[in-house]
Amino acid sequence: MINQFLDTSVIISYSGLLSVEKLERRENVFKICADFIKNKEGKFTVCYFTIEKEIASLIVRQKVWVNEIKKKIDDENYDIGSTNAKSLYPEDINRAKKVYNYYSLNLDKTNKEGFKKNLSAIQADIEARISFFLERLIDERVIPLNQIEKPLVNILREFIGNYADCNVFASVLKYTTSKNEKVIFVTLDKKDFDENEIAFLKNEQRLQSYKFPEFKILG
Amino acid sequence: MNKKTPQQIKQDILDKLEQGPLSIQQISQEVGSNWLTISKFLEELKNERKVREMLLRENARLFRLVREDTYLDIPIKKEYKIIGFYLFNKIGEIWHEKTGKVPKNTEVLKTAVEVLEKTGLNREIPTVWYLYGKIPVLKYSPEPEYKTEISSIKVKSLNLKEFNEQILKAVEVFLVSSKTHDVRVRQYELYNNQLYQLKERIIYLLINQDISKEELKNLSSSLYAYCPSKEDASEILRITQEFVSVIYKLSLIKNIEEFRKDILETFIGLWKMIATYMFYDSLTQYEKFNDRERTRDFYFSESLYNRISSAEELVSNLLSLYLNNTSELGEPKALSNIPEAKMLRDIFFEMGMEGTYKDDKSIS
Repeated sequence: MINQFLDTSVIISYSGLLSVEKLERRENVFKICADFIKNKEGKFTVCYFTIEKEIASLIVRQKVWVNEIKKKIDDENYDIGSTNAKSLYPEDINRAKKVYNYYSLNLDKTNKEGFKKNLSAIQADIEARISFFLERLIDERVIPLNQIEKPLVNILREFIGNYADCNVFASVLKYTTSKNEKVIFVTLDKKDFDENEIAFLKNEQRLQSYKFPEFKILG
Repeated sequence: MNKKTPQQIKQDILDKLEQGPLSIQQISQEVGSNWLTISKFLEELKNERKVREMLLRENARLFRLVREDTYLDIPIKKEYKIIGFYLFNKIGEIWHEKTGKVPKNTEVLKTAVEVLEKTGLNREIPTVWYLYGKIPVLKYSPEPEYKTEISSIKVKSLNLKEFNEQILKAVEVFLVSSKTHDVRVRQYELYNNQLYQLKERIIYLLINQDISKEELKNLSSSLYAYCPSKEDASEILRITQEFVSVIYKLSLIKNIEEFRKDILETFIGLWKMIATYMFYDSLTQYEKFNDRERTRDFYFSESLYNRISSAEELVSNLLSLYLNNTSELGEPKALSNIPEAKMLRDIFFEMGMEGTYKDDKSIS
């Protein structure tokens, strides 16, 4: 049976599928990802880092972010991020400002409650889709947090810029090495897992004791 | 100078606390007795349920009078209490004359609010939003006969004839129906209070109708839209959005009817939290209470804390119910194509793709 180890990006993309997806871009990752999930082959595996750190943290951040926009809509003097700076990244504050600007420039203020309601609804919808994915579509959860090899993460950090990706990939390597079957790592991340990058990793002396998965890059 | 008896000291303490909460040190200075003496008598007054101790930030201890006749011990001057009781009594009389019935609590309270606000007396007897709408902070009980001699009270600018006329007019406003629900809704409409109208619709749905998942989702996210969001309401907003999230998840379960009782119980807990905040927020609109931090510390710290903790626990229990029933989940629909959906979805995707977890220190 094919064993497909899913990166966080796959779950996030699944959660964002709109009921009408326009394929205006050549690569609509949401549609591609939804089709991939729908036509599931073999089993889906996810690591605990994705579930307990990445997804959990993303959902908290989304909620705080939505609340910040609502506060700004309710009180235009409110400074976005002033009460929740620790839970948000600086980029999130800029994103919230962008949404607020969109609201203030484009929308009829008489429907501000409708806009806030939509913010809440979309957040809750996305969270419910993620929850469904984790509860019903995942076959195996692997590599508890305390089993992630810190030295391996440190080596990967020399090659992969993103700390979260290093932890996920460290989990993938540990898992793949422990298995006698073929493991396919499925991701949307073209930046960190492009062909050259992977070739470079495979040649790294300190990673020779690890078995690499096959890669499937969606989109 | 004669030494004060314990009874006199205790009475002095109670008199000083009439003006509002005080620390032992402040009472000691006002009463003219030492710290230890005041502390000892305060303990006795606490045991007699005449004063209440409040533990504030940085462990500061303050004491306030227990006022059986107002909500959360909010102080009202004696002469205005008498006016308030007269008002309750008069409403009862007129109501009875017009309908032959004794008015219900809701009818008296809503009518009293109308009178207090129209006459400006709400500056002394504040009217506030609470669980079932706007009420005076002075408690009403149908039991005692409020036979008060209002003529003996000297209150500037109170013209008794005009006051009585105002009561008559206010009774007419609320003589709309014999159903308490209709009276409540009438008040929410008068004030165009969408949050309270929404609360009524959610309870109606959860009690009287087959639960439509789409309607429940729609109403719960509307509740979020109207939920208070000032800086001191951050916890309330957070828990409300948490409730919305759980409702959306529960909606994936095929037979949501099984959870009707639990959803209702959770919503009521959530509503108590929101309504207690609304009480606090509306009270701070009055000059005497407009120092928000002080008002919160003096009268709401305990009640808000309890309501928030309880709501949080109920929402968490509801989430557990969902997690225990994930084998019953139906596949979720794709996100609805509302105008903002694509923009928000793309931003969430961006947030997710940039690496959602940056804390290097957490794995060791």
